[in-house]
Amino acid sequence: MEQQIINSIEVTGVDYSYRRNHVLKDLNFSLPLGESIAILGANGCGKSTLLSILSGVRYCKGASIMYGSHDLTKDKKLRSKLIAFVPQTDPLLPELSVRDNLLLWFKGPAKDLDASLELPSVKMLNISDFIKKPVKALSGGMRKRVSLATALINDPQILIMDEPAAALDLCYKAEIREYLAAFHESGRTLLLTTHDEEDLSIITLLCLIRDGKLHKSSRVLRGDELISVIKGESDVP
Amino acid sequence: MFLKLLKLESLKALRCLPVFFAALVIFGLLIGTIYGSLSRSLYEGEAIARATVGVVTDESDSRYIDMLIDYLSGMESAAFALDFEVMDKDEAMNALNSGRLVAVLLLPEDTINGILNGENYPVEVVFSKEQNLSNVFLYELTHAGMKLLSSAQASTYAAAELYVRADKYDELWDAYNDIDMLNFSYVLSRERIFFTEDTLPAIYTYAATAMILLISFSHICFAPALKREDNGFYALLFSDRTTPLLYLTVKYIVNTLLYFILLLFGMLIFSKAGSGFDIYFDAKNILMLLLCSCLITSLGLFLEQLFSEAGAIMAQIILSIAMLFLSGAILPSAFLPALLQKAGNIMPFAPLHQNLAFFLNGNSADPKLLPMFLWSAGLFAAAWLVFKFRKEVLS
Repeated sequence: MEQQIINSIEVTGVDYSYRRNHVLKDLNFSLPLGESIAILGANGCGKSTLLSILSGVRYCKGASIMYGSHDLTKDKKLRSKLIAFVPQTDPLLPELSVRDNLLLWFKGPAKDLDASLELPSVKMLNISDFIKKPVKALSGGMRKRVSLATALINDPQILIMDEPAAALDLCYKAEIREYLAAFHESGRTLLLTTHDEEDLSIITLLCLIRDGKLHKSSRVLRGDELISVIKGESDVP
Repeated sequence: MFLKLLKLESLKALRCLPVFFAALVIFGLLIGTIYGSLSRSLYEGEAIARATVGVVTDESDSRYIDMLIDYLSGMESAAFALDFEVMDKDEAMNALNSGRLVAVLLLPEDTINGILNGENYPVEVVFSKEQNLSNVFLYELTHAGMKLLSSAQASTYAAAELYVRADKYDELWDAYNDIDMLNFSYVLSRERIFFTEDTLPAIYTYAATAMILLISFSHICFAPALKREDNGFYALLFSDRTTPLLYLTVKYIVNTLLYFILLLFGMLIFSKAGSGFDIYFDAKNILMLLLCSCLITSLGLFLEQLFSEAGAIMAQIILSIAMLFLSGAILPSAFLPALLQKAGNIMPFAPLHQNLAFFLNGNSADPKLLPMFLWSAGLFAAAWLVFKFRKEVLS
């Protein structure tokens, strides 16, 4: 019931430093649900750090992530039900089979895994063709699909992905974009970081991190305008 | 998640078993052969190879020369490795140059009388020109022989002195021959003087060394189960309400228990398979084997967090040998500088070595279980700290 009336996640007090490097400076922002959001910025600006805080990988003292009346930094059970995270490098154990890797991250009982593999967002990944193979025998594109499946088998409302197309060739990049677009079109929230301008084709809201602050752009910028904003040569529109 | 991790880590550890058993056979044969050869040479008077020393003398007809050769050949330190052969100088030098002899003793004229009357004409010892370990040992043997000879002389003169004090000058000259004979023969039995019941025979010390090497080297096969995974795996793991401590604890418990079972069964088979060791499995010894598994697993875990998989394997090999060396398990630590001796005594392998030596001798473990426990806990804590630090830099 509560889920129907919540239309954003309110993030407050995100302040993070790596020793003397103050990367995120007291960020306070809201993330509208149902959007496809990209966080952009120069290398080392704190994009991945922000995603790791939102997904619970990294603890940020004083921060709160409010989903309605629930603080997701404290209610970890709700967080892990709502949010799925796909890190930049594959979270897979190469010596195990695809199925065993999925079982590891599947939050339901093992017997329900097959039913989850039939979820539309998982089925379109076509991993059943190689589900018994060890991960080490898979290509980079196949691995990325399995990484995505580890998140999608739990049917999350919010998918956080750190550079989804990193280290993939052009064909695989396009394929991954298709899966992500389909996920967003099913009414759920996509939040990703990227350095690839092509990924912006599936984005509805653009955020930029500059000088430790998060700026929301009124539109999805492209080309020279985007580069100029990232470099700090012009303001975020 | 705890049960899933338990299953996952068990699966990873079990997958290491085929390689472990293969490595156990290879390392077992290698270390067992070295240990067997050493112990045989120490206890059965059979060296891996024997060397010949030439003796050049003008008094080859003297019965004292025969006694001197018998004396040298009977020296405990020389008996297991050296043969002495009387020959002329040219023959001896040719044999030395050709490598048939390892050294030549050039006895000066009137050597025997010189020894008997205390003049001690110097004996020239010519070593092979090759600079190798054999020469070092021979050099040390020569010095040991000189000390022995001087003690024999001292007792000869002491006996003569007693005759003089008793005003038995006339009998003294007749007794000299008997005194010399007695001294030469008694000095050969000197090892009886140093017999003590409180020290473990060296065979158990070296067996414990061989066992630690085998344990340490074979444990390397569990590196794939202890190694760090990709950062992506940890990112997902820690976003899923799992803490680094829980993750490392599960990994540690699974690997320790598996290795403990292997070690326990290995020791049971070893004791029943006619190894000659009278091993005694009481609660203390079983606890010692469990702590041994804890120690070796925590060392492996720590190194795997610190280095890459290959780096950790190399580090474990180097550290194991270095710690055994410093603990006095390879060479007596008395040869080391005082500071290194102190460092060796606090190394984790020092209590392990001592406990294993007692264990192999059929005793209960020495009360050195606490240092093993502390080292295990310390290394696990260090592994956790490194893991935590590396999690912090994970992005």
